[in-house]
Amino acid sequence: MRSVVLLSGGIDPVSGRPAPPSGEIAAIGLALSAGGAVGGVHVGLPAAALGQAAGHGLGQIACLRGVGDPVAILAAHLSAAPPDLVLAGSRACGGEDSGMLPYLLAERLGWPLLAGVVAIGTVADGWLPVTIGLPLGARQDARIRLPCILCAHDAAPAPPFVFDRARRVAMHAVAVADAETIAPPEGTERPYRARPRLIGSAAPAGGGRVLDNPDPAEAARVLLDHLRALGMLDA
Amino acid sequence: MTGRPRRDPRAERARCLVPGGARPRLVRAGWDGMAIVPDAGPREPVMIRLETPAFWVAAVVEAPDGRLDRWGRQTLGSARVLAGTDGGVVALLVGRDVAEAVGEAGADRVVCLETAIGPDAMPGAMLAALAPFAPRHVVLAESPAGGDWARRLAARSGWPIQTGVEMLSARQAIRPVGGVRRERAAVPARLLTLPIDRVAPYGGTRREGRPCPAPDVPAMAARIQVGPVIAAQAAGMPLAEAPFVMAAGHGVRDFDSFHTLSRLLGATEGASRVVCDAGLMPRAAQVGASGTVLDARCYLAVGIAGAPQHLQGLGKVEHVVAVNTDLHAAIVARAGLSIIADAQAVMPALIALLRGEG
Amino acid sequence: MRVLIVGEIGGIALAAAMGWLVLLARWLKGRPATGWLAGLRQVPRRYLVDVHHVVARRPAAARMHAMAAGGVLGGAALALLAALLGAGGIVWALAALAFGMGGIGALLVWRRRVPKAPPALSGGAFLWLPAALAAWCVGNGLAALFMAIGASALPVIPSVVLGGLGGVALLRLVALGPMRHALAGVAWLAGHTRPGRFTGKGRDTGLRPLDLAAPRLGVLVPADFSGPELAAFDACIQCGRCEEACPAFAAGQRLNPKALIQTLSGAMRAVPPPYAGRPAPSVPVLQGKGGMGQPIVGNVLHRDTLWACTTCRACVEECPMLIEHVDAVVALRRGQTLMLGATRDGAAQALRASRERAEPGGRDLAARGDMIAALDMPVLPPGGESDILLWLGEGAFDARYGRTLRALVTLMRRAGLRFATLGADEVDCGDLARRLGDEATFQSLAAEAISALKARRFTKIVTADPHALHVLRNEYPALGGRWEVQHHTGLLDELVRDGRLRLERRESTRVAYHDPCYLGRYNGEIDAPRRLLDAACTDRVEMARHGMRAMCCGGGGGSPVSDVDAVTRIPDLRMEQARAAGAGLVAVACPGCTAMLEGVTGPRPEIRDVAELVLAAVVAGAMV
Repeated sequence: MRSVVLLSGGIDPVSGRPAPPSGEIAAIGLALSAGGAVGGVHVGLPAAALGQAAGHGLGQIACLRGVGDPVAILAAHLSAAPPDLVLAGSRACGGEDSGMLPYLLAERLGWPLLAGVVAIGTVADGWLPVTIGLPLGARQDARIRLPCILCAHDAAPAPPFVFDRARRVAMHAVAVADAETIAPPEGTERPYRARPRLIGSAAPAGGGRVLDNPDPAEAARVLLDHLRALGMLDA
Repeated sequence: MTGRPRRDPRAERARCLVPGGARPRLVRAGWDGMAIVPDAGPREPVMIRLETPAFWVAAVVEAPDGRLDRWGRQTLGSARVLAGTDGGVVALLVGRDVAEAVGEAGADRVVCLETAIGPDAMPGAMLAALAPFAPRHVVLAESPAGGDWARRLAARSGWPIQTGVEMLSARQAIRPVGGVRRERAAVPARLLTLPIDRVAPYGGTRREGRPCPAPDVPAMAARIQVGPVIAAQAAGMPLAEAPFVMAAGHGVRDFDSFHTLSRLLGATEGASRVVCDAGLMPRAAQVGASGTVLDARCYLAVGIAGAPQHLQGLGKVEHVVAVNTDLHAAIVARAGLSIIADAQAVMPALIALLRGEG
Repeated sequence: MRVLIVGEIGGIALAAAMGWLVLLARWLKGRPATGWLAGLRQVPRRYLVDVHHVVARRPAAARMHAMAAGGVLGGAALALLAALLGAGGIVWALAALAFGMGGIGALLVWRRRVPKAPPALSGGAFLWLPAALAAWCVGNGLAALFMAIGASALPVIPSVVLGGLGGVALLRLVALGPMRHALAGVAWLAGHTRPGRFTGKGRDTGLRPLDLAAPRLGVLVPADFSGPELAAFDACIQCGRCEEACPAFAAGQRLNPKALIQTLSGAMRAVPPPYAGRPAPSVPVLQGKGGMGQPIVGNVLHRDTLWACTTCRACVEECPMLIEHVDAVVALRRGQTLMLGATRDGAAQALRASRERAEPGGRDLAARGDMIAALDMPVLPPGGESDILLWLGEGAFDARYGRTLRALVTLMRRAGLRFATLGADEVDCGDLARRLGDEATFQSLAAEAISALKARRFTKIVTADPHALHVLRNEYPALGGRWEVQHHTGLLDELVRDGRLRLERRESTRVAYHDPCYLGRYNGEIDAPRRLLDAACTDRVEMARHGMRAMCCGGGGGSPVSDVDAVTRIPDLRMEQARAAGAGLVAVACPGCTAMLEGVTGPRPEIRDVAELVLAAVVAGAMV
C-alpha cells in the first residue's frame, strides 16, 4: 500500500499565518492508518505550512515545481508512478478554497473518489472499506476500488503534531513539465466582510425571557413550548 | 473576530427582498428573526404556471426522508433569485417526492432522482436529468452531500463553479476566498453552492411544481458501493457534533431525572466541570474551555451558573435555555429562556409532561 | 586499640566513599555537566547556609538533623583524628561528646515516627535508621569515652564492635537505602543546575532554553537528564514537605512530588530500592523496568503525573535538598511534547493554536484590545516611542479580566503616565507553550515578541499578567530580549509611594491577598501588593499559606488545558483557605488566578484585582 497525501500549504483563517488545513492533517492520519509508505505532494515551492503538516506524520514531501494547472501537474506526477491511495483534505485554505482539486484530479485520472471519510479499513480484493462521516454523528460504510482518491472529513482523528518529525522532514523539489495555464478566476477580490446569517427560527435569542420562581408545572410547559418553537423536538 | 456586525442597508434590503413577484417586495419583519415570511392570513388561491420560460435555473434539493428542510427551501429560494421573473426553476429532488412542498418553495418543475444512485453515478444522472432544461445555473446546498455532488458535476461537465456563496443576487455572487480573509464578487457562475442560512427561501405565490419524468440513469461499472446511513443516537453522539445538548451542573442532584429527561428530549448529555470532577458524569461530557466546545443549536443548561470557562464552551450555540436557582447567574444573561427554579422540581414536572403527551 | 578504631571508622568511611563513587559512575551516564566537580568547593557553604535555611523552617527537624548528622560525622571525624594522631584524652572526650549528641539525635529520629508517623514521612528502611544511628553513636561514643579515660582494651572492643555493626547498617542505608541523600546531596549541591539560587541576589527561576537542533529534545530516558539532576533525584530524603505543599496532590490528581522524585531516582535502576511513602493519588502501579536507557513516562511514571503539575514551585520552595522538581517535570514534558507529540488533547489544541495563531486560545490577535476598546488605548507602531509599554497578556481576551485592565489603565491615566500597547502585534508570550514542554513554539513566539518589542522605544514594560512578567523578565534575556519589566502592582505601589496617586482606605469586608505563584515564588514580589491593599482597604488578613509559601490557584503550567482527573478542584481548596481566614473578598493580581477563583461555584468571597481595589480607593491623581 502506497499512499500520497495532497498538501496545499495554506494559512490559518483567523491569523493568516501558515498552517495546514485540518482536513489535510486528518488525511495524513488516514494515510498512516492505511499502513505502508506515506508521502506528501505539494504543487509549488516548499512552504512553512508543509513542515507543520509533516509534523503530523510525513517523512518526506515532494514539491512539484512546474508552471500551470496544478491538476494537470499532479495528474502527470501521479500517473508516472501511481500510488494505491491519494488523500486530500476537504479544501485548501488561503487560495481559491473551492475544494475542487481532488474532484478534477479524480476526473482526469479516471479514479473513483469519496469525500467525508473518517476512517479506512484494510484492503480486500482491490476494494478499500471506508467510513464516511455525516452530520450529527451519523456514519455510512462504503467500499471503493483502488486506486482511488479520498477526501478526509475535517473531524477525522488527527494524528498528534510532533516537532521532531517536523524538523526532520525531507522536502525535495521535483522538476516537472509545465502544464496548460488556467484562466484566473473572474470577479473582483477584496477583504472579507462578515455578513450575519439568517436566523431560522422565531424563538427569541440572547437576553431573553426570565421566569422567576414559577410553578414547576408552568415551568415545564414553558420549557417544552420553547424547545418546540426552536424545533428541537421534531424527531 | 466577533465584533458587532455592521449594518449594511443595501445588504439588508437585498436580504429582505422576497423573491418572486413582479415588483420588489420587502419583508422587514424581524431583521433578527430573519425573513420569516409573515403568515399572510388566507393563502392566495392562485398558482403560477409557467409553460415556456426564457431560461431555466435548477436547484438540487435533498429530501431523503420526504421532507423539504430549511436548507432545501433556501436553495430553491436562491434559484428563484437567479431565475428572476422570466426564468423557470426546476427542482432536482434527490430522495422521495415532495412535489407539493417544492412548488410552494418556488419550483416550476420537479424531477426526482433516487438516492440509491450513489455518488459515483450521480453527476451522470444529474446531467441526464438536466439536459432537457439546459439550465443557466444549477444551485446546490453546500452540505456534505450537496457539496460533493456539485463538485462531481463541475468536474464532469467542466462548468465553472462558485462554492460556498454567501451573498447572491441575479447579477452577483460573493464567496469567501483566501482562508475566509478575502472575498470575491463575480457574476454568478453556472454552478453554485450555498451554505445554510444565507439566502431566504421563496416567499412568493405558490408555483406549479409539475413533476417531470426521471431520466434513465446510465449504467456504469461499480467503483463505489455505499451502505446505509447509520444515525447516531443522541446518547452516543460526540458532544462536539450534537445539535441538542442538555448539561448538568452543580445544581443537579437528581441524576436519575436528568438522564430520563435527556432521553425523552433526545438530547446529548453534557456536564459542567464541577460535575465531572466529582465523578458524577464522565470527563468526556465536560463542556467548556477545557472540555468540549459545542456546535449545538440548542443548549439546555440545568443547574449551571455559567463560570467564564464554561461559557467559553458555548461558542457557537444558537439558543441557550437555563434552569437555575440564581437569577444573577451568568448563564441567565446568555440564555433566551431562563427558569429560575430548582432543577429537582422542574425536571420531574417536564418528564411528567412529556410522558403525558407521549 | 587505635588501629582497631581507625580500621572500623575509617573502613566504614572508605566504604561510604566507594559507595559514592559507584553512584557517581551512574550519574555520569547522564548528559555531561560542566564544572560539576569543581563545584565541590561550594558544597560546605551551600550545605550550611542554603540547605539549613530551608531545614530550619521546622526547628524540631533542624535540631534532629543537626544532632544526628553532626554527631555521626563529627564524632567519626574527631575519633579518627584522635586515633590517627594519637592525640590525648581531650580529643577523645570531644569525640565521645559528639557521638553522645548523635545518640540524642538518634533518639529524636526515633521520636519522629513514634508513636505516630506523620503521613508525609516515608516508612520502610527509615524505621531501621534510629537503631543504626544509635548503635554507631553509642558504640563509638563508648569506645571514645574509654579511650579518653584510658581504659583497658576489654570494654573498648565490644564498643567498637557495636559501633561497627551500626556503621554497617548505616552504610547499607546510605549506599542502597534512602540515606543515599547524604552522598547524593554532596554531588547535587556541587553541580546544582540553578547556581543563581546561592548568590543571595535575585532568584533563579527561569527555564533554560533548549537547543532545538540537538538530536534528543528533553528527557525520555534517565540518561537524558544531566548528571547533577540525576544526583538530585538520589538526594531526596523523602521528608514529604513537597507533598504537603503540592496543590495537585491536595486535589487528588495523580501527582505526588516526593513520589515523582523517588520514581525518577528508581528509574535509573533495574531494581529500585523500595519506596515506602505515599504514592501519587489513585495511580495504578506501573510494572515497567527501570534503567538508564529505559523510557520513563508510561513505563515507570504515569502520564497524568506529568500533566498534573501547575509549575507553582511550591515543592521547590519547600525542598530542603533544593531539588528542582519543576525543571524535571518540564524536561520530561519537553521529551513527550517535542519528541512524541504525547500531550493531553486540550493541551494539543492550545499548542496548535499557539503555533498557528500565536495565541493559545485561538483568538484573533486584533481582538485582544476589544475589552479595553472603550478606553481608546494608544497603539505603539513600529518605530514609535512611549514611556511605558503595556503588555496586555492572554487575560485581555476575557471580559472579566477586562475590568482589571480598565482599572489599571484608568489609574495609569490618573497618574499622568504615558503608555501604549503593541496592539495586534502583541503575540502570546509563549508561557503556556513553554510550560507544556513545547520549547519550539515558545522560542518562535519569543523571537516574534522580542522583535516586535525591539522595533519600539520605551523605558519599561508593565504587565498585569505575572506569567508574562516572568517570561519577559526572566526568560527572554537568554534569547536576547532585555527590558525592565514591572508588574502592575509594582507600578501602582511606586505611584502611591511617589504621591502620584493618593489613596484613602475604604471600609471593606475582610480582604485576603492571594499571591500568584509567578509573582511571589518566581519573582519574590510579595510586598508591593500588600502595601497597596493596606493603603486601600481597612481590613486585610493573611491566609495560612501566603507570600512565598502561598498555594497555587491551579491555573499555571497548562494545568487547566491539560485537564487531569482530580478528586476536587485546586481553586476550591484555595477558596476554602480564604474562607477559613475569614475573608469576604479575595484580592488577586493575575488573570489566571482571577479566572480560576471566579470559577469556584456556590457562595464564595468576591474576587477583585488589586488594581480594582486601588481604583476604588483613589482620591486624587495627577490629572484630577
